[in-house]
Amino acid sequence: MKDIKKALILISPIFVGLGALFFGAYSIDPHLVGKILINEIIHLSDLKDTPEKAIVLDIRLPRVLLSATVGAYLSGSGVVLQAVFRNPLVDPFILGISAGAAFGCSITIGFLSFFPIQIMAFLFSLVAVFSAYIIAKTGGDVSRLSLVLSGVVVSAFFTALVSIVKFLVDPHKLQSIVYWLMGSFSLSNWRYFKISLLGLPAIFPLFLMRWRLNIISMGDEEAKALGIDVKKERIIFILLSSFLAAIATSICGIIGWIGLMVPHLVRMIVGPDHRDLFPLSLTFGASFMIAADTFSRTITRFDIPVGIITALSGAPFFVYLMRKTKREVWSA
Amino acid sequence: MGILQRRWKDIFRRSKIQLLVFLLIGKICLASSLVVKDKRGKKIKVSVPVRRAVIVISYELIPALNIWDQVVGVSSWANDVCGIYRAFVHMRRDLKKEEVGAGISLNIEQILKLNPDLIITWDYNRESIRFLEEKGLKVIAIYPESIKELYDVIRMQGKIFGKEKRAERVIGEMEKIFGLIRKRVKGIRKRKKVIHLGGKPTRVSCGIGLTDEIIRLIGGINPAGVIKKRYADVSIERIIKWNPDVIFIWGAAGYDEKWIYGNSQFRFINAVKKRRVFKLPEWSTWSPRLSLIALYMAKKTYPDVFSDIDFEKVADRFYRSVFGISFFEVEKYERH
Repeated sequence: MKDIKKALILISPIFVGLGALFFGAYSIDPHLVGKILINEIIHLSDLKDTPEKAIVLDIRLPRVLLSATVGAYLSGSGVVLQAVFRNPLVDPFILGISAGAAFGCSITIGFLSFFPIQIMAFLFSLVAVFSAYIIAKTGGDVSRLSLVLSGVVVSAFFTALVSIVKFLVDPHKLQSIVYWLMGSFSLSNWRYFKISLLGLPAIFPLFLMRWRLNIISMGDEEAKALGIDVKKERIIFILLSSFLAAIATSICGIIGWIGLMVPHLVRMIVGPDHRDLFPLSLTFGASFMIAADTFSRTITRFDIPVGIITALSGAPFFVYLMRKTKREVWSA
Repeated sequence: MGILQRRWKDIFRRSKIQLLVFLLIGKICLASSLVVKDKRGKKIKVSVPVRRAVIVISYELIPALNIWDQVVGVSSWANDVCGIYRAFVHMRRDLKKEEVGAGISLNIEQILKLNPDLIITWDYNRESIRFLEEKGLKVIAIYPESIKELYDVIRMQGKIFGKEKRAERVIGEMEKIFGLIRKRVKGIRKRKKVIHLGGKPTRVSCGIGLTDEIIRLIGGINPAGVIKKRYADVSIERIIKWNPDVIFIWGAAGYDEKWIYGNSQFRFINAVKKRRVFKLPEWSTWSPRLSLIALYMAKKTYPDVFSDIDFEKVADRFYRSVFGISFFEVEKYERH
């Protein structure tokens, strides 16, 4: 039964993603959507460049792929960081990534409009992570507690800087900053999707090292006894997962909740073994984000911020699973 | 008896004088205070004419109503984005007002230091308004969402600053331009679909607010008007579905028509195909300049109907009449 569940979660992004391509504000005959997609894969005939074709291939498809990638990155990052910090409340933004990215975005919109927002958001999210690490290191050992605390400090610092920028800029720019911070896939295109693929080099090592998360999450002493260089590996895990979260945040803004919730949902379904938990969190996160985004862009005439949908839909599901499982799944 | 009669007459005469004095004082008292109902629906009793006002928003009414000497503070936005304010302040340094923070984050200490007898701000930051009121300050919150409401704001400010006639003249000048537009677009049979994009290319002005009214006034149809909100984020495919003939971009947006033309996702939209995407001037809509924004939009939407109208000439005449400064002079101080 569990294997079926695992298989379903694993392949879910394909079905959810394909399904999402049939929904949107512009009514397109499902047959035509199918024809456009099949023709794109096996090139049966030369389809004219119509609005329908442009919507399916240039608007919906990159949006679905981008939301899947971002969902996977945030969930994957969340599951790794929860294991490394041995804390179920940790999310991908624990080390100040969101605040750093927000600052990068703010100063770009406010004062450096010639610079791409995504690059600055990415750079500052990495600056935030490294700052948190350096602050944690000043006390000697880089412990989990010192990292969490330095993350809080860095977040507070960058949040204050964002507030200063928001105070200084004119109302028009202020509005742009606020939109960006809300997080959205509304401007998804192929270029953003290609940029998002920069996260793949971080996914592969995490995938190969995922079994080590089981050991690290047992505690430092046990991990050391089993021959793991805890400090070194913890840093590698933190950097790789932060890199994923930074990529995701720099492309589509701050989308909260998913990186915290999806690892728990998957853990409740398949158990705490990170060999399964990590890849299944990636695919479940992808499916969840595609579904949430599709819902956010189709339920009303206007787009509802996707973060609201992830929270509203995820919370009841979370409660349901918690009641159903009725057991402690937070340990390997 | 005679003495008694005389006393009664005397008392009566004195009472009449006292009554007259009382009525006069009463009249003076009534004339010097005014009850204003603001956007929150709150009634505020103001002693008029106001002598020390802080104007957080609607600062373009300072030159329009010529109330420079009755204003002690403005939002920093006046100096950041308002070309008219900047032009005046550049010409006469003594006109520069104290800045009381940005529109949404007010420097309350600075406001208190100025000891204003009235603060005009927008209806956004209720916490700040409450705080200021708790300190005994009078606050009028505004948020005009229609031309009528904008006129009400201008009239209200005319009354509280003792500039009623000037306010009426400003409204009259605005009406002249609106009237011209209404007259010209009256006969248009095939109305164009017009949308207004905001801070990002998927944020549209919807069915509530001045922009929607202006689109209707210029003879356009706002497809986003069916959404009963001020603004909304929509998907690009929703915009393709609406297929507007003309797209206007908010003047302060961080992108321009080139960005829209260069984005292949927009290529099937009529406005893009026919190169009818225009970035608006970076002017406030809570200002007499709203009428000029409308004229600009009308001219771009129906170029044939307004082909004989020289926008800059009309704008210059309007600026001179309303603000007392040349349009071309102000242009030097506008952000482009």
